[in-house]
Amino acid sequence: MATKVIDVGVDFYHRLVNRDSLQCDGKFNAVEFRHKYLKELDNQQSWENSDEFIQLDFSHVKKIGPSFANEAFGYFTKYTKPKQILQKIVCKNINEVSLMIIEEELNAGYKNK
Amino acid sequence: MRGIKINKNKLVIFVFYLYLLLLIYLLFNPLYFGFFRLISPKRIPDMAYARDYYAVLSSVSGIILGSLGIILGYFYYNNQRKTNLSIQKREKQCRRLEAFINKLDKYDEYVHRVLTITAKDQKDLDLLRTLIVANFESIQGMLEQGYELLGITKDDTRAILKVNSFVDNNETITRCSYQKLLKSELSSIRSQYIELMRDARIACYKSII
Repeated sequence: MATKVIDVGVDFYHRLVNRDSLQCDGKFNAVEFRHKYLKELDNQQSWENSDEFIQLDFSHVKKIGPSFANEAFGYFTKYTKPKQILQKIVCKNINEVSLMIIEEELNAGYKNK
Repeated sequence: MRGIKINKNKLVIFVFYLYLLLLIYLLFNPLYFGFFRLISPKRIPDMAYARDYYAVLSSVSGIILGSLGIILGYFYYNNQRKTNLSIQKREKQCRRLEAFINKLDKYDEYVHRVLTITAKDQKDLDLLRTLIVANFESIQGMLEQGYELLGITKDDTRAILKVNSFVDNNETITRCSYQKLLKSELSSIRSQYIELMRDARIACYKSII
């Protein structure tokens, strides 16, 4: 199966800050993002291999917040380890600090259990 | 195999001293007295010889001294330029870090105001939350410009990002309504926050010499 490529800043939104509909204005939140692009990964079978599933292009993203990263990516720490999450969900054109935020959330684990 | 590293400045100074010694020797060589008698049996045969000898010696040593002066001057200029650049770079770094710490102080102040419930009502609390987000956006922006420009390392950056990870992921700080804020719960959150902020501050301060 061909890997999906998403230009996050264009296809979704350029400010990734809200965890869910209850945070701030609730628009373009992480739950919505996860359901839209990463729904197929929400089961144990999907994590039996480390094949690339999706490429997220962050070149048009202005900001990514910790709570968004935790809900969108940290959610999958219930299935696997941070390293495998970043192998399946490949972050392209992302700046070093934003990647550190995502890594921090993956290492800290999902906080909205 | 690694070659021997030669300090150019020391080499030039060494050559300069060697030259001075040689010059002293050549100056007193024909005079034939004391110690020089042992190493040079030559005498000055006449005044014409002495005049020619010292004329040659003076012009040759003038050229050598001039060349050494130019070389030493070049090294001095180069060193001075490097030192000035390094001072300027450090001053810029300190100014950036000062602005960064000011932003972190503001961020800390707003978080503390939420944690100590200094907000008068829900509107005031919402304003504080907006200020927390806005301040950390500036902090993140400065880090994205290059944390090396602030003189901090990747690990230091992670320590700073951890503070906001804690705040942003904490529902009590970010979304709990004004009526539901409980002092007892906030005090435990505050102690965790203070620990993380202390690490972030250490990360900033350790880069200040």
